[in-house]
Amino acid sequence: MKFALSDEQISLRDAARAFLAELPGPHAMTEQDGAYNADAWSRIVGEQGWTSILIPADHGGWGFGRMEMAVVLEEAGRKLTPSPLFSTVALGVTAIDTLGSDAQKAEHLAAIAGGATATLADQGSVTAQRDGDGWLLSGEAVRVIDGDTAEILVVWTNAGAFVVPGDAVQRARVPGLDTTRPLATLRFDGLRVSDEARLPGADLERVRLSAGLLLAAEQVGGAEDVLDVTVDYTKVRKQFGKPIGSFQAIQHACADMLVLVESARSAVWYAAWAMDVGAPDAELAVRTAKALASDAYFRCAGSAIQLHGGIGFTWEHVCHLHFKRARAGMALLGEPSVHRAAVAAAMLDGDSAWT
Amino acid sequence: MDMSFSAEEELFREEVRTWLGEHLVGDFARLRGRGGLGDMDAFVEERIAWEQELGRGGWTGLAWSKESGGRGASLVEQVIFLEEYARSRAPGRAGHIGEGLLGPTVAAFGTDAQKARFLAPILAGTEIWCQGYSEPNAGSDLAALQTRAVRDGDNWVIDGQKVWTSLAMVSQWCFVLARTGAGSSRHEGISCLLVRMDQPGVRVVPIRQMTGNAEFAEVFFDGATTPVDHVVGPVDGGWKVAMHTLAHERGASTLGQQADFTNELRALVQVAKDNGAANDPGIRDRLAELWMRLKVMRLTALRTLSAHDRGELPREAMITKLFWATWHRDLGELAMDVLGPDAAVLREGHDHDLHRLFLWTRSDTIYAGTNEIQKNLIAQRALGMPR
Ligand SMILES: Cc1cc2nc3c(=O)[nH]c(=O)nc-3n(C[C@H](O)[C@H](O)[C@H](O)COP(=O)(O)OP(=O)(O)OC[C@H]3O[C@@H](n4cnc5c(N)ncnc54)[C@H](O)[C@@H]3O)c2cc1C
Repeated sequence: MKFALSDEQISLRDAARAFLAELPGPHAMTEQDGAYNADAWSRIVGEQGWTSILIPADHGGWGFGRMEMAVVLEEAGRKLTPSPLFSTVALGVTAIDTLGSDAQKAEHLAAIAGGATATLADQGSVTAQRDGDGWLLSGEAVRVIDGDTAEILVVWTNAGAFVVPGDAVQRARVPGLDTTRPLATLRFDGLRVSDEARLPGADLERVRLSAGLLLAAEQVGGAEDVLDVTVDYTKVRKQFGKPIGSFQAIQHACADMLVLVESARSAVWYAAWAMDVGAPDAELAVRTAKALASDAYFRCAGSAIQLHGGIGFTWEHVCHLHFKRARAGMALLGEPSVHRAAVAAAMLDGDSAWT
Repeated sequence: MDMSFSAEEELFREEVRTWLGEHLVGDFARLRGRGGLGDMDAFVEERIAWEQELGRGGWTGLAWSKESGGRGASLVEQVIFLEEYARSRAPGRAGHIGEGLLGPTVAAFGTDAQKARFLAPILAGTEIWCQGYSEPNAGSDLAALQTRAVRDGDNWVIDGQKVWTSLAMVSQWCFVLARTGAGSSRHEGISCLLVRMDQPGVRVVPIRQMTGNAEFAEVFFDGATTPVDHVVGPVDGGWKVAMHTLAHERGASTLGQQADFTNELRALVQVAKDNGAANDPGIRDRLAELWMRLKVMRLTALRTLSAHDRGELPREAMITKLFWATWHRDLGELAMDVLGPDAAVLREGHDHDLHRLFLWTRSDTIYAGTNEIQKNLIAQRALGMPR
């Protein structure tokens, strides 16, 4: 029994933190046209190799677990680093690794290890129709994370998942609440794909759970950052002749934030471990992690704005970026209430006693 | 990261389970589920007998070192024991204050003579202890205490009043914080005295709680005495000793709390299934939320425990008391909502347990450091915010 990061995981975290501190802040990276900073991304892939963490060694990756990925995403979440990291590893890699055949993995995971970006389009109304020895894809996929730029797209249809090149479809970014994480609508107008493009796996739910867990890891990092920023500010901002951090109302709000952050972190770490080892309670553990981390991030970001006063309401400040990312992320990969409903079903509807 | 128990730990679990199964029988069988929080005045005699049974089996003082006569169990083993104890619905421990608070304090600060005199009877379940800290004018602000002890020959003579003293009416001994120093004020000049309860200078007046029963009492000291060598730690240096004890009250001894809470949540789920509340979307949502937070309570406890192994006191350890107290109070409130209109009616059986839970849990956020004090501590100690 050891519920703590290993020395290697701590080194990974520290290296990630040091590296991310060198990158331009989220404002500088999103202000222009919302495009990702290409230099930062090439360093993430080239220097840090984070897109290879979850890719099995056979396919050119590191073959590490979700725990290592969670450690890195916590750091990325903390710095709100705009990049296709989340979509590529949590959605692209996970979908291809979970649903793909060996040949598909060999091709696409190797491409990702080599620097390609990827994402998953599983919301909307895309249908696949048989067309000779291939398929015709039609319809619209919505709220696709990084859908406008991803080089490899995994599309979920009535006939399962297909992998297609990103530039084969019409795609447009949609205005998003969270400016650090673009969403796009994809249109398929009878796109013809070969049968080899169809992924044999059917367990989309597993892909979504795995991705939800990784989003939760990112949310823990974000929540911790708003807490840190807020505590630092309350130590220096003076009113009534004292630091505002000496006022009890402020202290208690920060204490509540710490409870949320550390609880969510416990949930995320456990869920990562449970999925990695295939523990029987992995699904419920992930649902717990996503629900608690989403709620924690949103509540902490809201408190942070309040405790900063007017400055917290400005565009220049980092608070609103966290606040928007928190609310948008809450809506992705299952709202907290959706996960609670699933837990309630396990507790109340099954005849087997829960533990 | 490895959340599984080792083979030896699983063997230990088996040993605990077997022992409890073999001993919670006969007269002890009807104690199952009794004597817990809110019910500490139930079956006291029988629970003391059970305490002695545990002692004979070597199941008291699990956390104590071998030199102190304990088992020297690891934190993981302690958690396993507490989980199995709760799973078997073994009764609330009559000796928990001696085992959890006073014993470790004597082991850390006591003289050899004190260790020899006081530790063994706690392990054997033959002496029950109560904690005399709080006073009418000293609650959250413990350093405002006024009870005084004056040296008279070979004795200390004690005058003053304690309040909210849990189990005072059944205890043989009380550890009392009193002012001993001349010109003593605030944290200076306090000593921790070990005082016999059955003597003319000590009067115990049970206080009826909002639950209707009396688990705590007022304790009046009117010329009570105790020998000079019954001071734990330095004379006039008792504040440090008291803080050590409080750390136990808020720390590791609550690691197994979630095991009892699991039983309560499970019972509530059964009621909800039986009375149809389980079909209400609002109730379902809140039951799920509590289940999630209960899981996290265990996980954070295990994280704390892993950090202990590395000799750290991590900041997540500081959220434990606030977290479980608030969780338990939320459970109590949800219990009433599950009962629906029947919340207004007192009945025997399950409903009775739920009402007790509902009422008792108002105290969880008060004793062992109120929620407000916990938040002060988190802000100032864990987050370094200015005083
Ligand atoms: C069931 C039960 C069992 C107990 N058993 C024992 C026992 O065995 N031995 C023993 O010694 N004591 C015991 N206590 C006493 C317990 O430790 C005290 O009740 C507790 O410390 C609070 O003190 P108080 O009751 O005087 O409330 P107060 O300290 O007067 O608090 C009243 C309110 O003011 C708030 N408050 C106080 N100070 C601050 C502050 N600085 N900042 C913000 N808010 C503040 C509190 O949070 C609370 O809401 C028990 C209490 C209960 C309820």
